[in-house]
Amino acid sequence: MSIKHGLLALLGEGPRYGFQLKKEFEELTGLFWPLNVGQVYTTLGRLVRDGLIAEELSPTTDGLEVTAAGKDSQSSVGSDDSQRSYRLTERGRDEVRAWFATPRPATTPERDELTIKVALAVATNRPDVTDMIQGQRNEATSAIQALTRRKARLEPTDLSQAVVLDAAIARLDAELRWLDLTSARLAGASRGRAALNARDSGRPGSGNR
Amino acid sequence: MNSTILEMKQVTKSFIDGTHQRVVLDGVDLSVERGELVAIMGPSGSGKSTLLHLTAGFDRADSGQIVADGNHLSALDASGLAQLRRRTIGYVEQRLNLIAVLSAVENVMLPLELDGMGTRGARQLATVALDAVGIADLADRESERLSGGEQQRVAIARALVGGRSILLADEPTASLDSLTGEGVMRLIRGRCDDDGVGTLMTTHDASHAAWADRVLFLRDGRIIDEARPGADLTSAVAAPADDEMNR
Repeated sequence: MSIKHGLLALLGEGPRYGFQLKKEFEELTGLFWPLNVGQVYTTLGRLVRDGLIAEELSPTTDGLEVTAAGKDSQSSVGSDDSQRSYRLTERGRDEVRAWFATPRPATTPERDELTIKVALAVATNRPDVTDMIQGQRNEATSAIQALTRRKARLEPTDLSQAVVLDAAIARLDAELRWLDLTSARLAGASRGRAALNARDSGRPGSGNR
Repeated sequence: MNSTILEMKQVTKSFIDGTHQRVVLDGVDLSVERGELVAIMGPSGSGKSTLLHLTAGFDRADSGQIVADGNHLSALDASGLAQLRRRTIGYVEQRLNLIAVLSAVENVMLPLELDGMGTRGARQLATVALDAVGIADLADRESERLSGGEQQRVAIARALVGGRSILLADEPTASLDSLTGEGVMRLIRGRCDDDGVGTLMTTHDASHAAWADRVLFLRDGRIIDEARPGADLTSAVAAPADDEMNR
């Protein structure tokens, strides 16, 4: 995702300075997505260029209401970024509305390294696949524990941060359920093989009959 | 508060399954400190429930030691174990086992009254326990008229009433929706942090196990691994790129 829509959505709440946008974005995502100042101003510059936002030069720090806009971005080159505030244009408002209204396409991380690693371990009959799965299970569990500690410290009003943490936890939880399913599938397959071997060698299947 | 409240050493347990012996626990070592929350995860049949049953004294280990708040379980007879459960160990399970026609507070009073306490004293302590789980205002409601999450809170209050020091919880969130389950985990975490209760719980749900200080992985009757909270990762989600802006 780009931060474009994040900045636009925040500006939907009213005019903001660049540093204010950076701070608000980071707060609502629980410091998950640190932005660098340069990235914020580069993006804002492009949004101005594309007519989605307009900038206003504020002579004072509490000058957000100032309407005498220094609209011409070229004339403000060289002036201090921190003194410019930004507001949504009508086009920008449409863009925000459309962004919120459009479902993000569902994606599956089919090129996920872990998926391929486990698939390869199975395909190449690695003897350590069980340990490998457990190692990954431990890794994901530690991560969920850390995220949950952070969630435990949130105030009930930190709703957006809770939502972001829930998403990270849910993804790891899904990974863990897949690891469990994989363990069970491999165990089932090896029991099946054992039964087949037993039958082929003329003995009755042991254990599972 | 770094003292061990619950300890298992080389605990084994097997059951006769038809004609052959099935080993369910195969030399389990674990300990729970005061104020610590320990979760056990493992596939069905890995021995999770058996482990809790033995700890509560519902059943006896074949060998090994279980010590709960200084009490060697193997040295106690049936009435000693029952007393331990009334005074020291609280047990919560997925099926709540509340008495439907009794009110919340009456359910919580039960273990105290069974232990010989008078009604007035029991009611006082039960009210404190219900307050600690956040439902003091529902004290007089019949438990069958409470929601699943509220009933689980009553069950936890009943398990901890009178200042019991050990909580054993067998899949305490399994029948609850995600948010209600999170509320119950928050509550259990709070009892550990605030009252120094040592908790051992089983769960299938990693997001609930994650409230624990340690997560133990049980497989084929053995503890094979242990997870602790990782670094406070801020990089679990990658920073958004602004590549898409270059259009």
